[in-house]
Order: sequence, then C-alpha cells, then structure tokens
Amino acid sequence: MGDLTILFLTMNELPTSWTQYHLDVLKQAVDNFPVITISRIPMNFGTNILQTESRSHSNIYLQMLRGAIIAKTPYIAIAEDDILYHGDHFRIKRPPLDTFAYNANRWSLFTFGEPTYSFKLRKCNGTAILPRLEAIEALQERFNKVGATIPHKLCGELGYELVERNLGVTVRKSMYVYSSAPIVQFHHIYGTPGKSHTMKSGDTMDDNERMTRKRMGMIRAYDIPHWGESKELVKRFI
Amino acid sequence: MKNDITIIFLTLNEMPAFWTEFHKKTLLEAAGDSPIITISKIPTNIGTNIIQSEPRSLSNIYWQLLRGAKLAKTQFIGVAEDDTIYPREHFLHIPKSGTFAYNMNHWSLFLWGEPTYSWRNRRGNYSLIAEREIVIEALEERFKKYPNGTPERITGEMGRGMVERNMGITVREASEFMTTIAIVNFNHEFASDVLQKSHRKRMGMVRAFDIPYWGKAKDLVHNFR
Repeated sequence: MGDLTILFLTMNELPTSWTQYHLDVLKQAVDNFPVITISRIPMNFGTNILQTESRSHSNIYLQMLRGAIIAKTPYIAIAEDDILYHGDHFRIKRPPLDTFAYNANRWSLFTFGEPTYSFKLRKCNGTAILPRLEAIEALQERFNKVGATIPHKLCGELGYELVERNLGVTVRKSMYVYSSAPIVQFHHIYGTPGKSHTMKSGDTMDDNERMTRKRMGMIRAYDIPHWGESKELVKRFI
Repeated sequence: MKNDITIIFLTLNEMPAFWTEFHKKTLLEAAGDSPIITISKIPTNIGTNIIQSEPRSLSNIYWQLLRGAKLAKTQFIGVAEDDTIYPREHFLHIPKSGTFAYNMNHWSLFLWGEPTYSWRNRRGNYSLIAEREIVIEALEERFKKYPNGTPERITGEMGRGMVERNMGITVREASEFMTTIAIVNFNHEFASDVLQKSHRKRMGMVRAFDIPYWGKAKDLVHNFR
C-alpha cells in the first residue's frame, strides 16, 4: 500500500538509548511506506526537514501541516517519538477521504510509578491516519482563524468536536479504528508542557511534578500481545 | 462502606462444579453486606433464593430480572451473572440518577483459543447497576408490549438506543462508569449466545494476558471447570 506517508515528528530530546530503540521499531513498522521526518536536528530517515519553531502544542500542528503539504499520498499517518508502532497500524483500513481516523488500540505506559499499561478510549494525535487533503484544509482553516500560534487550551486533534467548536472552525468527521496489534504510547517527563490548560492559583510550576501526576486509564494490564510485560518494556525508556 | 443495593444473581445452574464454587466465593466477597437475590433453576443457597422455571432465552433473562427487582427493597439493584466475576467496588457504585449504569471496565475471557483478556466498547447486562424503580418501569413496558416474551433477535440491554428503538419502546438514558479493578466476563459453550457456543465469537481488539487483581488469563481460565 503506497497510499500513505508517515510524518515522523521529533524534537530530538528523548534519551539516547530509547531514541535508537524507537527508531529501530519504527523502521520495522514503516516497511515500504514513504517517511517524512520533521526533526530539530538532521536525521537520516526518509525525507528530512527541520523544525526551528518554539516548542508548543501549536507547533505540532504547524509541523503536521508542513509535512502534509510535502507528502504526495492520499493519506498521512502521524508518528511520534514516544510511541511504539506496529506495522498493523500503518496498514489499517483507510477511512473515507473526509474522515479522520484514530487507532483506538493504544496502550499508555507511564515511565513513573508501577509499570502498568493503561487504556483510555480517546482520540490521540499520535494514532492518526488522516486523509491528506482534508487534513491540510483543516489545519489551514485553524491557522487562518486563530493566527500563527494557537493557544494551548485551544489545541487538539483534528475531528475532535469539542476542540473544533472551541476554535470556531468546521467540525469535521472522525472515527475510531483498531489495529490488530496495539501501539504503545509512553508518558514521561520530556513531553510538551501544557501549563496554560490546567494552571490553577497556587499550582506547582515544576514541570516534572506536573507531568508525573497524570492519571492512568482504568483499564489496565501488565502483559499485552506483541509488546510483552510492562515492567520489561518500560526499561527501554533510558 | 455499603451501598443501598440488592444484587440479583441469575443462574441456570449449568456451569461446571469447580467454577460454581469459585464464582460463589468471589460473588460473596464482592457483595459484602449487600443482600443477594438468587434466581436459579435449582435451589441455590446464596441469599434469598427464588426458582425460575421458564425456558431459556434472552427474554427470560430480563423477565427474571424483573421478578428480582420487584422482590428487592433497596434503592438500587445490580446484576450478577454466573459467568462473570466482580470486584467489591463494582457494587459500591452509585449510578447517576435515572440512568442505567454500565461498568465499562470489563474484560471478556474466552475459554477457547489462547487465554486472552479482550475488551470491546460495549455495554453488557452483567455490569448493570440502576435504580430499582426504573428497572421495573423499563421491563414492565417491555413485557406489556411483548407479553409472550421479547423477540430474541432484538432483545438487549436497557438504555441501549438501538435495542429499545427496535422494540418500539421508550429509549432510556444510560450512563457509563469504570471501577479500578475490572469485571471479567467468561465466554463459554454453556452460554445462550450462539456465537459463544460455536466458538465463532470474535475477541475485541484491545487485548491483554495479565491484568491487575485477577492475574494471568492462562491461570484464571483454570477455574472454569
């Protein structure tokens, strides 16, 4: 299936050993699909373009737009540097050309606390399989409406109704899909801070503290197909 | 901690002997001090016992649930099925008023193939907690419209829009909750569901081999004998 380009987004800030492991896993999952890597420092993986903009949630969507414009395929998939993908994810049945798909077979694995996989049914940008032209239209509409930087509290996934209503842009279609093998998203202290979203008076300013208080989903497991035991997999994040 | 709830335990007494004892032990632990009404085919020494003699069917499940709900005295009822194991906290849940609440932290465990927990985004009657009065109201409406039993192919959970629309009855409000420890629903050949009997039922795509509290799937399935 040459109908999909993988947009790999990275700030090149994750630990060295993890970065190599993640890249090995991603290359295996990617197979023959074209890749556009959008990184902070040059990388030898697919077509590489550099991002120099400030780190923010808005920047994630700006880089997605850049990648989507460069890609040539009807679909794009987002690959993030803290998510482990299986090839099934990129081979998933394509959504209609006006609908954004999100792979719901996604486990979270926190790098703090007891190593436990947890599951929430939620649309997550790193699981997106997007019709490229619809994604370009949606992203351009957002930036045209709000300006070059979208405030953190207004950022969110394409096709996420609440987000698009808050932005005052077109509410677009989205759907869940399930790959046969899951993907695993790591939660760690290197993520993009989101202070403006949840900041309350007297709240801590310590990013590490803020990033390690996230709550797990209630559906939990210690051992899952393909990826094995959480206590072993989490050791990869070094 | 106690909830004003009666557990309505439905069984046709067709499960294997070892499992029946294991299930009873887990159910009593989960029930705590809450009363249980057991509706069984043969006399069963769990809580208040009444006998069901009607033919096996999906409609009969809801008919027996109606009998149990009428007999109970508490504000809430919770369903317990004989192929499902529950944590204590499940029966402590207080549902949003006026809604049929389903615990979405439920794993299915198939007794064929590689022992694997699997999850689907679906509400199951075995995880229902609701106010007793709305259960009676909803089920009386069903059986008033279908006095000889609801048709098998359209019978399903209360508060499921498609089910209630197909039946031509009031579409009622449902809500969802999650306990921290999951419910585990076993899928087996003694079930009413044809797909389970024939082992053609498909697992949900979210899968696990080992989960908190209940442990490894390959160990837990050994209790079903």
